[in-house]
Amino acid sequence: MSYYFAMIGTKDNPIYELEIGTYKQSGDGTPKFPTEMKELNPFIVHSALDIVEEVQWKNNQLYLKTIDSFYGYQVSAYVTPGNVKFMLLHDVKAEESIRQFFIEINDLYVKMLLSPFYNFNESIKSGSFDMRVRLLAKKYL
Amino acid sequence: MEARSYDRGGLSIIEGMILKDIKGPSSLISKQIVISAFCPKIAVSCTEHSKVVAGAFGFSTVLELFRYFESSAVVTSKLDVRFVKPIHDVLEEQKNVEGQLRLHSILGSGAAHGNSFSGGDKSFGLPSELFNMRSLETLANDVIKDVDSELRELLASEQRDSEKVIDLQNSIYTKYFTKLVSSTAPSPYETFNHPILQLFVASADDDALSLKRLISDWKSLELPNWIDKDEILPLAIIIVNKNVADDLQRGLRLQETLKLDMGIKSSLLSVSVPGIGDDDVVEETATKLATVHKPIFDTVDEELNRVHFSRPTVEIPLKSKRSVETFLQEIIQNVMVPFMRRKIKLWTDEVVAPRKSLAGRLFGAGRKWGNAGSSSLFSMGDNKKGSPQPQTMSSYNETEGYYYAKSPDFLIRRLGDWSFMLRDYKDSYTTYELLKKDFLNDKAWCHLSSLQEFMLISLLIGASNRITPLDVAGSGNGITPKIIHDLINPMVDSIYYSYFSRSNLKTYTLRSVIVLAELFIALSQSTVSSSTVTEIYCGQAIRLLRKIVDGNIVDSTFKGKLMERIAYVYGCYYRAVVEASPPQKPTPDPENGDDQPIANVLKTHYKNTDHLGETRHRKSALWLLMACRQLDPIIKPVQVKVLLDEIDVQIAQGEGDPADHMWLYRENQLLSKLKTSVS
Repeated sequence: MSYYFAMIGTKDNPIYELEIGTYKQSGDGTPKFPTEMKELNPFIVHSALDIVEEVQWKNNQLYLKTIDSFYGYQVSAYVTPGNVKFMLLHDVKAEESIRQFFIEINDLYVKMLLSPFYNFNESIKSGSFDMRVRLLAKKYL
Repeated sequence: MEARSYDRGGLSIIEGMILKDIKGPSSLISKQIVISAFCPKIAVSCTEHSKVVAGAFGFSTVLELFRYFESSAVVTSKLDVRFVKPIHDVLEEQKNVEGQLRLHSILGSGAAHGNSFSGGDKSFGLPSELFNMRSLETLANDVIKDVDSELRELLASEQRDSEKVIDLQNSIYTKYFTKLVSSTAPSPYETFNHPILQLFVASADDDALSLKRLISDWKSLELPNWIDKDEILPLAIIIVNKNVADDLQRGLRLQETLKLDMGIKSSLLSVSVPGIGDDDVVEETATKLATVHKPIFDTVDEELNRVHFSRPTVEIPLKSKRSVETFLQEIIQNVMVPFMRRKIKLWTDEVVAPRKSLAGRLFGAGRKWGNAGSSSLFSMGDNKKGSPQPQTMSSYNETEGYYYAKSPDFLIRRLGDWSFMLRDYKDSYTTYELLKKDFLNDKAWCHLSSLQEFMLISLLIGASNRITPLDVAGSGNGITPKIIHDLINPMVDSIYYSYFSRSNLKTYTLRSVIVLAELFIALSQSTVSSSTVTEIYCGQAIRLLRKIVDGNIVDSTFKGKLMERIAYVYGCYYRAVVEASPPQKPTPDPENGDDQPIANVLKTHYKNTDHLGETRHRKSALWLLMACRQLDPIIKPVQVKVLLDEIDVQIAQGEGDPADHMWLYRENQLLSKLKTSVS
């Protein structure tokens, strides 16, 4: 099982990206996307933004569940109150754990926003943020 | 190019109404192609002398001459017709093209019983496909090569003519789509390619004997059981040269002889034949010339061979052009259409009305119960299942998988097809519906698929005809989401399964699914009021196109073009709505005391959210990228270049500045790789 996680800002700009594999079922955390899929990942997530923009008006929840699919891969989304989108491309359906993952990521992101050294919509380069996201991915995905 | 050639058929009006898009032509054009392709066919046979007349105009046969008038006939008579070779010749050609005509049994039992090539009788088997898939693939590559050579020049020039680039690019898909529906191969599942008129063309130089021989040869032809020669109306035509003084007299004499000896009705076609006749008249006719255009619907093999219609236009004397046009118009309006209407009325009274009546339903039920196979009480010990005798109780030959041409079921099918060709879609739908259960009971899967295919086409064309693209009020067309879910989707799945999975009929699968997808796109484009409905239609079209893409039915070139088409459909999402009401930022009016806007960079940027979530340009970009990968930048660099430019346009439509989209252009990603390979 492989995951591509992206946090997309309000201008369609990625503020954080991570490709990670599962640690469950004796996985070592290495993403195993096929080559032809790997080079398409950002575009699949980018195209799913069309659906996010549609669904976010119909749903008052922040977690939008699985919103799109592409040849066996699914895209789950979470929209923060500031309209930053958390997008996760995955091949296995695990709604509850993805929801938990997104909620925790949102907590992390809010803490990041509180930092005086971070501006809204800028890319996140913090090493500790990256490490914590990886830990959350290990825990939930 | 192809897109240009449609201007003659009145399609320029449609083209004027719609926006040009680089990713594909409007589906309104595709819809017009579907309507024009499934039109009455007129077979043409000619004598050697009449070939000389055709030769004087620069054509090899009279058929070829008439085919250059197909477009004119459309304009003048408002009903499309196509001129085809005699049905026997077409069947023979099919046999030769395929190497050997394999018996195609729906149940797969025919080949197992060693019945190959029996095909119901005589020397014909059931034709397997509408056209050769390999030829289509070759043609697809040839078309792209031709277009690319022109595109290369256009792209290299400093002042890029984007309109021409769009036209050229769109012509590729239009051509593919035209080829899908332009097969003239007769099919046992439908009667669109069974000719309605058979013309026997002779010249005044012919004697009655040669024309008689031509007609008697045709009458004595042995055709498969699924073709009914009696339903083809024979008509003799005698061409007389206006430039020759006594030609008319000879023509009239020949007409009289035919009538008296054989009881054959004939018509005189009086034309000025260039180069033959009195010198003064010949010179006069040679000075005033008019242009006739190559037919739109030439088949895949004709296009590939490029023998018959190598010339896009031919110049013939103006007088002759007018004479032939008027003559063909008269034939269509005064002979063919009345004949079709008469037959439709007759079959409705004889076959459909009894079926619909209460008594008919009771007897129909009795017939079914009494003919329930060998286990039936009445048929015990007399099992004729699979026998090619038309006298059996069932009109369906299970062994070889066809209905006898004279059977009530096939008559009703023909009735539906003829109503369809006369553009009475409501009538054709109700007629087709009568047969559904019978085909299902007979397990005639291909017949059922074909029936369902045309039921849906009738339904969708009928629905899209109800409102015009300019109908902003949009009163609805009757195709509701419930109809799509409960009626259309199960039928489409059934069609796909029967054609592709059960029978491996790739060309039929391709035709049915793509035609239906195009009609859905046409529906979405004609519905400008309701964005929800537009979304449903577009979604349905994408679902259908993806069926073909995912099914690996076509080669990579065609698949790439279908992906481009999917991108086009995504591009169409809500386009009508967005363009009907462009976002307007409220502007201050100084006359009313409003202050002039102050440039304040810290002020919140105005963002129009009216149509947020109503577009699919990002999806469109993804599918264009997929198309680029499928087309391969090494083999088709020009095509990929054009599409990559379009991807840039689609990405730029998103939120933010170009700098915000740079993540999509990273070096290790597909877009960047493709750009590097084409540059």
